[in-house]
Amino acid sequence: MSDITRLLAEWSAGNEAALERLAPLVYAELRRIASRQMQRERTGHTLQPTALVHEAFVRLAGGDGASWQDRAHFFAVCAQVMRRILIDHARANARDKRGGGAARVPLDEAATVVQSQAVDLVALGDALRGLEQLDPQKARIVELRYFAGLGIEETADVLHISAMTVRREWTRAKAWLYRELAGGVA
Amino acid sequence: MDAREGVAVPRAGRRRRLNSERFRRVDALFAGALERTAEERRRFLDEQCAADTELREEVETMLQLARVSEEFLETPVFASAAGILTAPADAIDHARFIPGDLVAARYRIVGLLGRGGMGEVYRADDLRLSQPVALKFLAEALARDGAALARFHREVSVARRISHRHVCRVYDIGEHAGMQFLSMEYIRGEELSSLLKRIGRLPHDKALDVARQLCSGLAAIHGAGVLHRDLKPANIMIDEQGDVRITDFGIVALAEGVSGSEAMIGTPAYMSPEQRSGGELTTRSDIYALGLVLYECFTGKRRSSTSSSAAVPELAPEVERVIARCLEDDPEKRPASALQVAAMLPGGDPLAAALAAGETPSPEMVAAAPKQGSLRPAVAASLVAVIVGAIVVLTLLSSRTRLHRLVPLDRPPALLQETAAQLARSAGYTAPRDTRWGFFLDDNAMRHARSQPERLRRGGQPAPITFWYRQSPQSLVAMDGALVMPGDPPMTISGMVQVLLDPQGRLISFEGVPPQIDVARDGTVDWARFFAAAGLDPSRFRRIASQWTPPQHSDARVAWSNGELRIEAASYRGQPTYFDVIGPWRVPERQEERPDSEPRATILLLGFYFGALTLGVLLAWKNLRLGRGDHRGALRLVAVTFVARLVLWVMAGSHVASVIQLVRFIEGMQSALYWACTIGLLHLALEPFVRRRWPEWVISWSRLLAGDARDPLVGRDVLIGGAFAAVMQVGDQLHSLIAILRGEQLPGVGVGSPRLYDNSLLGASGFTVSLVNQVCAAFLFSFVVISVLLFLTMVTRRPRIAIVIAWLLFYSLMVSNGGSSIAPLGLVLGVITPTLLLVVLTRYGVLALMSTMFFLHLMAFYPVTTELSAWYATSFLLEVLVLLALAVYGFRTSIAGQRVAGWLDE
Repeated sequence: MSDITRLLAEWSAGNEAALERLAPLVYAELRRIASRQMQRERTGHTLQPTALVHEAFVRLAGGDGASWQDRAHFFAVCAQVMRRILIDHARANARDKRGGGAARVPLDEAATVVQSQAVDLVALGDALRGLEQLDPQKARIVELRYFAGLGIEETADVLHISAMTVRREWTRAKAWLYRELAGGVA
Repeated sequence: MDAREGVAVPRAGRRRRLNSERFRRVDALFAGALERTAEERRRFLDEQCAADTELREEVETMLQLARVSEEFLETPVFASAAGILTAPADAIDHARFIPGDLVAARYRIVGLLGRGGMGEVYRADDLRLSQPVALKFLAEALARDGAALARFHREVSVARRISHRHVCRVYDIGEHAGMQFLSMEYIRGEELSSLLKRIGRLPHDKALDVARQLCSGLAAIHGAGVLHRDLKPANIMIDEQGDVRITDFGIVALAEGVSGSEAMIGTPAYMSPEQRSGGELTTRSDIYALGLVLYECFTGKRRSSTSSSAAVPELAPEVERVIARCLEDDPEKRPASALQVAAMLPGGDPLAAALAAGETPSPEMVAAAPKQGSLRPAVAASLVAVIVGAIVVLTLLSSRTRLHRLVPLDRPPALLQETAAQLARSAGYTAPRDTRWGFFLDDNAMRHARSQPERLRRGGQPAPITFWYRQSPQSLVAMDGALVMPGDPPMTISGMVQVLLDPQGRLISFEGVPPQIDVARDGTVDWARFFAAAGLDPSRFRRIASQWTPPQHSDARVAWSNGELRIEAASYRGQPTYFDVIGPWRVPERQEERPDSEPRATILLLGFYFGALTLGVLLAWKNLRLGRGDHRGALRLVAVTFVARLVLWVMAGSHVASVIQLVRFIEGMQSALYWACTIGLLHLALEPFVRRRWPEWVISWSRLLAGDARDPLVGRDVLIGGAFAAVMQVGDQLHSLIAILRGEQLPGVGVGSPRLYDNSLLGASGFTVSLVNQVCAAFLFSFVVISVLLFLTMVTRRPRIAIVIAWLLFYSLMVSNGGSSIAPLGLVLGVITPTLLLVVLTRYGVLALMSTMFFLHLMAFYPVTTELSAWYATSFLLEVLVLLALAVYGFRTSIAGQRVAGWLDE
């Protein structure tokens, strides 16, 4: 699976097209692992996101052979992919409710799950984009923490910064986003 | 306000956007405050914010928000999004494949692109060739349906043949887990339908552009014998370069035999009336759909059945006309081809588009070029006037410039024939079974007479125009099966006679073949009769020793001389076999010394011929193999030439009821076939190059070959060619006139071979023979000019330089060949002729050049005369008739139905 590592390297070198090609692979892998985990842990009904992403990485990038660098990149990609999938999905559902799409698939289980969240993913998406413009590092941290489910330490690893910095930035990022979301309501 | 641009602050009902500088300031204070305890924090903010209460307020807000948002986003969305990840694929997009799936061990699915009538279309990566592709899967219901499957396979086999920049490329067919799929080019871009939905109607210029590209793509599809059958905006992509790409051959089937239930596939809104009623589908059904698509491009609205008559303001009238033609209920009334639609659109020139794209336009494309070429009646009439005027001038000039008017041709051939026959009878050659006669031009006499034109005018000798007569106890059949001439068939049959007379009927030479088996006969010949026949007085001649051996076996030879003329005669057993009036101009042709250069020249000529033939065959073969040769046009050309040459053979040849006739006929066919194949070969070999390089040169020629003789452009080119020829011929004759008046030149016959009087003096049948020859010659000449130009262009890579070199070549040929004696005028003429010929070719094209050559030959090679009662006037009258008929044809077709009276009134 050197394909993945090559694409990861390309992406980290700034080739956005590489992400376009990575995204479907990552998405498919995540789906596969997720459904298997769900079957295994039917009762618990909770996914271990970190475990999921790690497993996806091992399966896609071949684990052992891959460098630590690849792992960091891979997590970043996972985070971006998840962010995109979830927000796009939420946006599509929101549009459907407004009657934008003609004959969409009826609301599925997934949509229900997303709806039940306290967070308006569409608004969050917009806010995150705004934050990204002002402070890209905060946006990356939100991506990794919230969308890829990485812990503080792991996030620090991926971003090459100290755990302390991650913690501080995370707090402030949340406040900024919260302000935006609340402001949107006001 | 757009929340995406920055983080907004809720404040007194007003949201203020932070710029990045402000954000950094607030965020830094925010960070600093967070690190401090409550008291430290107050002091810190007092210090930092000083009097800026607004800033302080903002930081305070942030601190407050930080407390509130402690739990915010702490649970990764990931966990809650489990539903999305684990939901069955169908629940998300109903797709059979999800991104990442591997299909047929070769394609990695990237995403679902859409769903068509036949099935789903995915975007995928071809792992083997690592390029993006689109995969189209048959809907499962259809995949189980044998007919649909067959259609699918058929579709692929035909669609693969289409390669065009405005048509989506189809690659291959495959199977995955029992499912059939098609791989094709992945086009990054937007569907025309969504583009129209997004921006409404297209800007006029863009719409025209799209329309033209659509036409060119659809023409390519139709050209492969395929019907699209479901042309609609959703099946048309605008790629990232803004180019139109026709996609989704979802319901394409072979162009033939589509009717009944199979025809009922397609999108109802874009169906033609015949498709809706289950009638037979043709390319014109696609033209109907094209009309609907064009309507949508130009108006942004879908055309409803009621909007037909209502004027649409945004639709330019010329576009509306085209669309209306496309939407005719009767397929026959719609434009015949997509290219024609493109040509009808304003400024439509698919030819230019094809050239710009580096494509070789097809003959049909060239023929469908928008060039109308109709002439205004006034212009066309002026051209006719030029031709008629030239005929009048040439006729008036003929008495001074044309040889046949100078050498009195008063005696009709019948009289000359009788004179010759009488002489033969008196010499004992009786009861001929076959007789033939004709005229030829004596080169040697011509050359000699140049110095004494006055003698000529009096009808004296030498006689440049010579009458010949032949008789034979057997049928006279020429060796080549065509024309009997002096020496062909050879004088080998006992009793054959050949007599040459000058146009006044005076004997020039007599030859008879003695019997093969000796006869017991004796006697002497009374040569006085021959002297009388030659119009000579024997008393002025004295006997001299015979020097010229008779061509036939003889047992007695005599010779006389009067100082200037020498007479050689011979007899066998008292029967004349030979009588020859030999002037100083006479060259002993039987032992004439050939110039040394001749063998080399012959070898060169042969080498050139075979080289050209080989090259022609190779080029034609290559063109055919690459599918760019105009095989239909070539076939027509071959057929027409073959028939014409066969007619020529029938008219020209001597036909006798004997077995030999069959052999001759086969030979005649061979000759006709040779000509036909040569011309067809030339067309196949050269025409595609011209079509690629200078397509505008062959528009009218392509149309004529396609059988469209009523096309205005064809008429125009014929007429223009005629007018150019008229001007050139008048110029040539005026030049001759001046030369003759100055005594520097003998009246000539214009350009061309000295043997031209062979046929043209022979009345209607001879006229036809000449005519066919001249049409072929005009064709050959044009193609020689073109091949020279092509060759030079290939060598120099600069068309302009090639044209200049070609001009120099023709000029030097003219000068070395014609060799005018009068310096300034001849030079001007030498400059003008090649210039005009090249202007005709480059400005008006191949057909105009052919027409010029044909008109030139017609005007030059026939016995033009003011004496319409002369026996040879038939040929002249026929010539004038053909000239006028061509001019009238050119006039009528080129004005294309415009009213002639109209401009007369103005």
